[in-house]
Order: sequence, then structure tokens, then C-alpha cells
Amino acid sequence: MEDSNMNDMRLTERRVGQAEAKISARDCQVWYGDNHAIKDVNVDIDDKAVTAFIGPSGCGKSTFLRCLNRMNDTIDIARVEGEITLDGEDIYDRRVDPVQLRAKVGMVFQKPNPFPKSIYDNVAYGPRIHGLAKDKAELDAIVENSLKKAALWKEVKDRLTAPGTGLSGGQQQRLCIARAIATSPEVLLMDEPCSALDPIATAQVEELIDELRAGFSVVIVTHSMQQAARVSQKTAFFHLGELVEFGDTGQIFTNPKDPRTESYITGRIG
Amino acid sequence: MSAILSGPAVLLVALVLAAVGFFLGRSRAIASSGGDQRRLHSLPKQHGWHVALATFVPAVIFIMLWTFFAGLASNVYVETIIPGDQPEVRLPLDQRGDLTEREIEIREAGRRDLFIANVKTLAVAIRGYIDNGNATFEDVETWRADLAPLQERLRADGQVVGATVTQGMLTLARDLIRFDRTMGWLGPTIALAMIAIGFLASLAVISRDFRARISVERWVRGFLVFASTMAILTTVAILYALTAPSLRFFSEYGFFNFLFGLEWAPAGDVVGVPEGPDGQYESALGFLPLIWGTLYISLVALLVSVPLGLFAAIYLSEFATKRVRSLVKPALEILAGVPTIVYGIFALVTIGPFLQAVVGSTIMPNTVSVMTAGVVMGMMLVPFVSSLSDDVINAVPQAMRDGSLGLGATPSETVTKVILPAALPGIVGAIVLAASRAIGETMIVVLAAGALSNVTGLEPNPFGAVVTVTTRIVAVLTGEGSGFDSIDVLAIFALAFTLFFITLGLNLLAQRIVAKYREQYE
Repeated sequence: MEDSNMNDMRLTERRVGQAEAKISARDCQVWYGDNHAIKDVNVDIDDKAVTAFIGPSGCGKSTFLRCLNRMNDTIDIARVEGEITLDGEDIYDRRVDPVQLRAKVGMVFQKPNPFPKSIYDNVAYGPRIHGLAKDKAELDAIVENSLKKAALWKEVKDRLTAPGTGLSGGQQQRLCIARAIATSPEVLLMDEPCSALDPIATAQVEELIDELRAGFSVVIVTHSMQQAARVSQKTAFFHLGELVEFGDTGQIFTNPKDPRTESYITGRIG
Repeated sequence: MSAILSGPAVLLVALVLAAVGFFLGRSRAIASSGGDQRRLHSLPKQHGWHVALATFVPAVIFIMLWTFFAGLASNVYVETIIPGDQPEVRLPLDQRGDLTEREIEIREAGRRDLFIANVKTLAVAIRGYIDNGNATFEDVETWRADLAPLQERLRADGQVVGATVTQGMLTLARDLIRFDRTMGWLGPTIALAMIAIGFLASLAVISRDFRARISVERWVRGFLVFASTMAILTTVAILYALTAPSLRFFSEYGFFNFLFGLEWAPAGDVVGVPEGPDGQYESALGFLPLIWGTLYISLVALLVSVPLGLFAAIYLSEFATKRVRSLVKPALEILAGVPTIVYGIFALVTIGPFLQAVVGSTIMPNTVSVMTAGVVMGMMLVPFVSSLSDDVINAVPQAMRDGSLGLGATPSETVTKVILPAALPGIVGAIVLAASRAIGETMIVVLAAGALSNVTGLEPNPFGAVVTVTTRIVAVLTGEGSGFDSIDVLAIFALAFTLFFITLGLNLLAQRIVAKYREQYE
């Protein structure tokens, strides 16, 4: 039944650029109050590759994603245990500043959330707070470059001063991606970035994700298995807070080892 | 007989019949369905409600309006029945002296007002005398002012009789009583008829196909419209009460003399009789020194309350843990409920002396001053500003915070660069609302701003005493000034009128700003 989908997955093209893991999690646990939301997750995320987290609603995939840039710190009742390293350094170490971490690990959210500012100011927001540009010309260059990488430059170059909230949904999401890219992160986390978009905008963003792989390590949470199959090299399947199976995307979709994974991708649970 | 024909009795009848009507209507509806309720268009209880509402609502609304307009009509009636040559109203010859035509006119108008008041008092006294069972109305018809010791008899019964009763007064009072009696039984009779018609007609229309549900919906909507109309009518009534005296004042004193006058020094001139040279009023009734005091104090109050309130709101909504928030927020709200007079006392006995001790008595001769009132009013407004700002800050979507934090911004960068700009229109709205409260605030300024009755010019010293619009209104209306025929009292209406429009304007402005803000995220 899934075979027809598998055909356009270009299995032969799946190359993982580097053997070294960019992010690795060991025995990661997350509690929301008394609720044990993430249990014993071990995962290695490659650099210059797209890793997809799939699973039914409430399985903890977004929660785990938010651990990777310590966004869970902003929730009072959330508690994270275990070890998560970025380039071998523990990101939950006392000496790590979550603010600097988040500059290195950018995030794109489910619903496009441009600030009620101009397109330019939206993209320049990160570089400005981190002091990345030494003058206006350099800032202009960063903004232009980021918008180009987010495939939005052509559409907005003549109206950079227009409010970002006035763009269409797909454009807004690409603006948010440009905004995340502008701080030159090493990792880009995307929490269901296409769930609020129509199919055409989704296709544009997926294409963009594939291009971003060249420069970043991308982690994407998605509800759509087709999307995971189309854009990712590695896939992790979460169920009830546990990481059930993790491997090459081709293997997960064609030859899952765990019966729960098979049930999910064939549509029996979820 | 007369016991049934009164407002409360009619209300009771309406209530009882409505209750009876509910059950009657319901059972009639069930009967008309021939035993199968599903064949009715509307539920039996909706039929019941229809009868109850048709019985109760029109009659009750009628009797309310009737009571209101009967009072008005009585006042108008008394004005119309006084003959032009009523001897009590004419100014006696020995008092005319060398007065001009116009001055006589004004004095006679005053006498006329007094006479009308006496007639009304006498009517009330006689009615009370009759109600106590000492006489019937027929007895009163035979009374004469000069025969029996009328005043003594009424007073012995505990009635209030002010002036000496004259025959003219007695005749008019009798007319008035007769008029009020007619109105007194006419209204309730009509209301009872309406109850009966409503009751019978609504019972008669019940049938299987009668669409009671739609009727009830209409009744409910009508009732809600009535309730909201009453609220609007109150505003209209306030405006009505203020407009006529204000316009009279403007035409007497001069609108621009009032609005741009730099001196406030009431001298007790009678309206229409300017006592100064060149036909000017001796009273100086300039608006500027008062509004200056009001705005100066409001400015100080805003300088205190806006930063404190806003920062408190930012702390509570962005930084405080749930526990702190659950403790601090109610505490702030308690502060908002403290009566302003208590703040006034605090200002007078604590803040005033403290400020004087700090800046010295050369700069601050009195404990009452702009700063005393302004600082305390600012404290009063802190919870107001913080609660309103807290609402608008919380209305900024969480996605904005996530977006900013996700880019590596610190919480305070997020607040200053994203949340405050997004919430700014709402915060400005909150500030404007606070300003309009500060301008209308009375008790604190009465106690803490100064109580001069004469001021000239605009006091620049923030530690000096000033006079505000509201303090003058309080002072004049609580008896410091002259009687109601004085131009000074008329000026008070103009002050209230102007204040009404200033605060109305500010509230409208705030609403517009807040409405504009709402458009952004929905």
C-alpha cells in the first residue's frame, strides 16, 4: 500500500554527509509536572542532513524538539533530564547560556509567527540583538542573503518596509525561515512548519528544506508521512513518549523493524 | 379602592396573573395538542411563557413610564395654573424703589419659584394629613386659609409647612392635589386593563399551530433592548440636566470669557443682575486656572502610575512565576478597591507632611499641593494601569514570545522589542483611560490639592496649592457659596458640563485606540 509512495523517494540519493553526529541525546526524559512526556530517548542527529520526527499527536515529538534548543525552559512546569550534546558539549550544562544556544539552534514554528514589524525588521531582528552586523550595509547584506536562501527575496525585494504580517501564509512561513537563518544557526528546528499552509506553499517550503540541508542540520517534526519521506534522510518514530524506531528514512518506510512503526506508517495507529 | 390603584399593587397583580397565566397557557397548549405534544409547533412551556410575558411586561413598562411622566406632568401643571397676576408673586410696591424693569422681572421670577415650592410643600402636607386619616378630600375642599388655624392643624399632625398659608396657595395646592389624584388612579387603571387584555388575548391565541417560540424570542429581545436603552437614557438624562443651566450660564457670562478666563473669584452675583461696573458680573469665573490644576495633578499622577503600573504588568505577565502572580495580582486588585477618600486621608496626613519635610516650607508652604495629590492619585492608578496593561500584554500571542526567544533573544529583549511594540496601542488606551479617571477624580484632590476659593493665573510650582474643577464643584454645591440664583452656582453646571465632555472625549479616544489594536491579531 505504501509502495507507490516509496517510488518517488529517490532512495539512491540518500547520502548522509558526515558520520559525526551534530546533536546526540542520551536517556533524555521530560516531565510536564507529573506527566512523563518523554521517556529514555536516545538519538543522534547528523549534520548537513534532514531528520524527521514522526508519530501520532501527543507522542512527544514536538516536546523533544523543544528540548534541543531549550525552549522548554520557558515553561515553568517542564523538567528535562538526561544528556543532550551539541558538537559534544552538554547543552543543559550550567555554563551554557540558553540565549546563545538558541542563536546556534534556530527554530521555525507550526504557525507562521512574523513579528508585527516590517519584513526587513523581521529578518534583521536576530542579527541586531546578537550584534552580527557592524554597519547598515552588512545588515542589508545579511537580510538579502537570508531572504534569498529562504526563496523569498524575489517576491519581497520591492517591499521590504511592508509589514511582515501582510504576506500570505506560505510567504510568512518562509519569512520566519529567513528570520531563523539570519542568525547563521548550525541547526534548524522546524515544528510542523507546513501544517498551516496550503499544498502549493507546502511544496515551496519542502523544496526549501531540501536546499537548506546543504548548510544546516535540519530537524523537522511532521504529521505527514509523505512529507517525512520526501524531505528527510533520517526518520525517528515516536509513540507515547518513547522513541520507537530511528533509522534511514528509506528503511523506516520500506522495512520497519518495530511492529508499531509498521502499524503507524500503514495507518493502523495514530 | 385606592389601595389597589397604586404602582406596587399593580405590579403584584401582574406578577400573580403572569404566574397563573404560565400554567394556564401551558395546560391549554397541551389540551390543544389533543394529548400528543409533538403535534404542537412550540413546546408547552413556551406557550406558558408567552402568556406570562404578554401579561406582565407591557403593563410593568407602562407603569414605570407613567410614574416617571406623572411626576413631570405634575411639575408642568403647577407652572401653568399660576395666574400671571398672582398677588404673592408680585413684588410689593415698597420694595420696588428705584429698581429697573429688568431687576423687578428677575426678582419676581425668584418669588414665583419660591411660591411654586411653597404650593408643592403645602400639597404634600395636606396629602399627608389626609393619609393620616384626619380629613377627607371633601373636607379640604371647604377649607379656607383665613378661617381655621390651618398651619397649626397641619403642624400638629407632624406635616411640614414652611411659609404662611395664603388663600391663593391653598387654592393652587388643592388644584395640584386634584390633578395628582387623577393621575394617581388613571395610570394604574390603564395598567390593570393592559394586564387583563394581555392575559386574555394571549390565552385566546393558543392553538396547535401558534408559534409561541418565536413570540417568546421576540419578548426576550424586546426586554433586552429595553434594559440597554435604560442605560443609554441615563447618559442622556445627565446631559439633559447639565445642558440647559450650562447654556444659560454661557449666554449670561460669555462662553469665551468662561473658557479662557484666567481668574476664578466668585462674588455671589444674582443671575441676570451683574453688579460690577459696565454691566459686567463681579464674579470672575474663568475655567483656565481650574483645568490647569486638574491637568497638572493628572500629569503628576500619570508620571507616577504609568511607569510603575506598566512595569508591574510586565513583571507579572512575563517574568513572575505562577505562584508570585497568584499572590501579587489579587493584592494589586485589592489596592484598586480602596475608596479614594482613604487615599485622600493618606495624602493629607502622610504624603503631604513628608513632602514638605523633604523640600522645605519655602518651596512648599502648605502640605496640600499638586505633588501631594498627584503622587497619591498616581498610587491609586497603579493597579488600574497595571491591570489593563496586563490584559493587553497577555493578549499578545504566545507565538510572538516563542519566535523571539527561539531566535536567541533574552526575555527583556523580547519584552522591549516585540511585546511592548505589539501591545503599544492597547497600553496607550489604558493610559488614556487612566488619564480620564485622574481628571474626574474628586476625593483625593478635595483633601490634598488645596481649597482656595479664589485663584488667579496658573500656579507653576508643583509644590504649590492649586484648585481643580472637581474641588470647586464640591465646594460650591456643599454650601460654601451662595444660593441657587447665583451665577457662581450656574457656573458649576458649566464646569460639570465641560468635564463631562473632556472625559467623554478621552474615553472615546481610548476606545478607538483599543479597537485599532484588536484588529491586529484577529
